[in-house]
Amino acid sequence: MNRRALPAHVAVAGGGPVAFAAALAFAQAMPGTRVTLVPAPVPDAALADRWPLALPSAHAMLARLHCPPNMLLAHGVATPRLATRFLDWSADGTAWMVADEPAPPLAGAPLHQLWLRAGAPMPFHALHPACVAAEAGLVPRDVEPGLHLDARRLRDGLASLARQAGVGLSNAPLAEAAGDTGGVTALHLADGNRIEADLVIDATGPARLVATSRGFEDWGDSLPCHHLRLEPSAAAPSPIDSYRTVANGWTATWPGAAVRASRDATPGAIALVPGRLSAPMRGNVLALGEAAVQPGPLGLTGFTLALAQIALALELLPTGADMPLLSAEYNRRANQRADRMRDFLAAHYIATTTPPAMTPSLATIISQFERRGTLPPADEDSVERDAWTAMLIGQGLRPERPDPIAMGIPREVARRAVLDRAGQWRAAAGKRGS
Amino acid sequence: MSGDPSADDRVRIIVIGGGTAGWMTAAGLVGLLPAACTVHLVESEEIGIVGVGEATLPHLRAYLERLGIDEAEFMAATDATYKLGIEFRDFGRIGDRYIHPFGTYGRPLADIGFHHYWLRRQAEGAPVPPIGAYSAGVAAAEARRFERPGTDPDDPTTSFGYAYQFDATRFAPFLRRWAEARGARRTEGRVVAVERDAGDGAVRAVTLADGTRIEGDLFIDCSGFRSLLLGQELAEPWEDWSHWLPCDRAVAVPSASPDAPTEPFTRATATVAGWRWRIPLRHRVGNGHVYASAFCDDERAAELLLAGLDGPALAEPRFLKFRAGRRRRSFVGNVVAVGLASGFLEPLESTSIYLVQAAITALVEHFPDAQVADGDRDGFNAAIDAEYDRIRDFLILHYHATTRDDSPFWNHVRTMTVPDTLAEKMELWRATAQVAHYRHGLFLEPSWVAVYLGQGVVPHGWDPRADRPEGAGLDRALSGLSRAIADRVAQMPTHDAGLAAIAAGAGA
Repeated sequence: MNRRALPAHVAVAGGGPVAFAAALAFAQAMPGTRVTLVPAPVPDAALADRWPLALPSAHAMLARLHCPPNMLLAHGVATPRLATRFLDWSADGTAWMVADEPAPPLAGAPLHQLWLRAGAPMPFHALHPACVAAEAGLVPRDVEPGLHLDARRLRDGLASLARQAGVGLSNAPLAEAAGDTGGVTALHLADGNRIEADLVIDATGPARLVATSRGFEDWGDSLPCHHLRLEPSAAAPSPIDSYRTVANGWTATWPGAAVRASRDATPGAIALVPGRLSAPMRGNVLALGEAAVQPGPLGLTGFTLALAQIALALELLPTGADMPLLSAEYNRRANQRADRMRDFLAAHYIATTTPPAMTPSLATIISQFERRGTLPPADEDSVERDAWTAMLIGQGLRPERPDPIAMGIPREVARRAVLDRAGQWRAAAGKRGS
Repeated sequence: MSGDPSADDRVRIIVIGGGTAGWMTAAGLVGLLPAACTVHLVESEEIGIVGVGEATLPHLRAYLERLGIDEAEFMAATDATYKLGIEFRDFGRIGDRYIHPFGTYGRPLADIGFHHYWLRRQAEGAPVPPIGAYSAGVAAAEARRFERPGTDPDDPTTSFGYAYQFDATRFAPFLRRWAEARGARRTEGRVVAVERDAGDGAVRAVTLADGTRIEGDLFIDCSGFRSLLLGQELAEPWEDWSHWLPCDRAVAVPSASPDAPTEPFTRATATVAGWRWRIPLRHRVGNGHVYASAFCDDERAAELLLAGLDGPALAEPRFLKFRAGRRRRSFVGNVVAVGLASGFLEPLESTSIYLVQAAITALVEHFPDAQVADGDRDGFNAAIDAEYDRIRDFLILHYHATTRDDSPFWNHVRTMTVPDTLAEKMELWRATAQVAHYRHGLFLEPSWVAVYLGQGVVPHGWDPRADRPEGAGLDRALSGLSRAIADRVAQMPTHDAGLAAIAAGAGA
C-alpha cells in the first residue's frame, strides 16, 4: 500500500490572484480533495496580487490553470510587455532595454559575444526583435511576451475556474490561525466558525496571516528601493515598461500607474520589506507568493515566483506522513529560485552611485561576467539568461576577457553579421508598422 | 587585447601526456579555440597509456559533433560499437540483472512521472513487466538491435540516448591525427624538470630528458595517475574516497568475440570483491575485473576474470593500481589537471572519458588569457567539484544498495556509512519515490530510478495522484506502451547490421 496519501482538505487563505491560482491548481491536481478558500484582505504591499506580471517562464503554469497566454490576451485580461527600458540608469546615461524572452541566436558564438567582437556598433537591444518591435510600438505575433495581468479580472477569472473545479468558499473571512509548533491546527473565521485542514496555504501576501515570520531573511541591503508611491496615470498603454533613475530612487510606468520607489521611507508610501522565509514550507503550512518571498517592486516579479512555487508544490506534493522530507526538497528548490531572483534584481543597482550590499552568489555572478561575459549555471531561475546578459550589458559591464570562441571570428565578419541582424529586425518592425 | 594577427597573443598551452585525456584536450582546444591558443603536447612513448576507458556516455557525441568529427569515420577508426546502456548483474542480489539505459522510462501521465504508476501497479500485484520494458533503449539492447533515436522527445518508442564502446588504444591516435592536422604540435620526450616562477610559483617551462625546454602560459596535466604537475610538483592534497569506494585494483584482458550477436551494451557483473566489465568491440571483447585488494588478492582476481570470459584470452592479463578520490582542486596556479591526473573514479558507469570531456568544456568556458584570474580557477573548480560529487554518490549507490551478504566485501559496502548527500537522496526516494532534483551534471532522474529499482530500493510511497486512475485502464495504457516499444524495436535493424554498414562505408 502507498504510504503517501492525498490530503483530505486543503485550505487556502488569501484574496488575490495568488490565492485563487493556488486553490484552482490544487483542486485540479487532486479531484478527490476538498479545497476551501478562506478570504483574507489583500495588503497594499502584495504586489503579486495587485500588479501581477507573468514572465515567459510562468506561462506553462498559466496554461495548466486553463489560462493560456493567448486566451488572456484575447480576453483583454493580459496586455503584452515585450521589454523594459531603463533611463538614466547606466553610468554614461544611455538608455538600454531588456526583453523578456530569449533573443534568436546567431551562428558562431553567443549573440552578445559576437556583438562585443564586432565592437558594439549599435545598442545591444537593437539585436533583439522584441525590443525593436516594441520601440516601434508593435507587438509581433511570433513573440512570447511578458504579460501584465489585470488584477481584478484575473482574480475573477481564476475564482470562476476555481468554483467550477470544486473549490469551496468559506462563509466568513479569516480571523486568525491557531496552531502549535507542528503547524496550524485550525483557521478561525470572523463568524466564529473554524476550519481544519491537512495542508494550509498562506497566500495572504506580506501580511502572512497564517505562516510564521520566524526565520525571515531581510533583503533590504540588497534591494534598496522599497518605499513605493503609486498614482493613477492616463498614459497610453505601451509594450514597454520604463524605469528612470531619479534622486534617491526610481520612477516607473506600470499599466495605469505612475510609480516612484525611494530608498527612504516617505509619508504615505507603501513600505515593502524585501526578503524571504528561510522555510516557506513549515509543518503543514505552505507560504506562497509574497507570504514567502517579497522581491520588491522592481520588475514586478512576485507573481512569476508565485506561479513557479505552485508548480513546484504540485510536482512534489508535500503532504501526508512524509511531509518533512518533501518539505525540505521543496524549500531547497524554492529558495534557490528566490535567491536567484534576488540576485537578478540586486544586480540592477550595481552601477548606481550607491551600490547595495553584494551577496556572495551575486559577487560570483558579477565577477564571472566581468571576466568573460558568461553566467554561472543555475538549477532554478525564473529569468531568461538573455535577460541577465542584457541587464548587465545595459549597465555598462564589459567582460575584460574576449570570448575565446568569438575571437576566432574576424571582426569584420562579426560586424557584418550584427549589422545585418539589426537591419533585419528594423525592417521587420517597419514592415509591420506600414 | 586586440586579436590582431600582427601580434600573436594567443595563450601557449602545453599538454603534458598523450593518451585519451591528452589528445582529447589537444583536439578540443585546437578545434574550438584556434584564435585563442596554441597547443603543444609532450608525450613519451616509453610511458604506456592506461587506456581502459573503452565504454562511454552519450555526451561524447556532443564532443565529436562540436569538433565536426564524422561519426562513421570515428567509429571505423576505433572499431567502435554502439552502446545503449549498461547491464548490471548480481549487484542488488545474486541472480538479479537490469539495464541502466540512456533515457527515460515511459512518459509522464497527467504531469506525474511514469515510475509512480509503475510502482503502484507493482505494489498492487498487477502482472506488470520490469520497468525496463517501458524503455526503448533497454528493449533494443535486449534484442541486440540498434537505430538512431528519433527527434521527438515525447515519443517513448524512439527517444533514447546512445554512446559508443571503442578501442581506447586507437582513439588517441585518431584524435592525434585530427589535432595535428589543425596545428597542434607534438614533441616526443619525458619531462624531467619543471621550472617555476620565483614570484608567483606559476609553472613557466618543462625540460625534457634530451634537454629540450618548453615554455608555456598554461599547462594541462594529462600525465595520468602520476599527476606530474598537479600532484607531484604543486602537491595539491588528495581527497581520499576509498572508504566508500574500496576497489583499488583492476586486471584487464582482451578476448576473442564469441560467435553471437554483438551486444549494444556494456556489462558489469558483480564478483565477491568488486565487479567485472565486458565491453564488446568490433574485433574483440574488452574485459576487466575491478576489485578491492583488501578483500581479494591478485591471483584470485585474475582467476575470476579469466573464468568469466566467453572467448579465448588474446593477451596476458594486465594489472592496474589506483585509488578512488581526487585532488582537492583541479585548476591550481596555471596548471589544469584533466583525467586521471585530477582524480579517479572506477569505470562502473563509464565516467572516465566523460570527466575528461567535462574538464575540457569547463576549461573552454573559463578559458584564461596569459594571466590566469582567480575567477577562472574558481569557476572551473566549481564545475568539476559538482561533477565529481554527483558521480561519486551515484557510484556508491551501486555498492550500498544491496542485500548481498555472501562476502566480507559486500558486508562492508552494504553496512558502511555513506555520504550525507547520498543518504538524504536515498531517504527521500524510499519514502516518496521522488528523485532529488538538479538540472546540471550527469545522471538525472531516470538514471537514479534505474539503479534504485534495479537494485531493489523500492519506495514505500509514491505520488498519491498515481493511485487515481482505475487499475484496468491503467494496465491497458501500460501494456499499450510496452507493446508499442516492442513493436518499434522489432523493426530496428540488428546491431551487427548497423556495424557492418559503418565498416562498409569506411571501406568504400
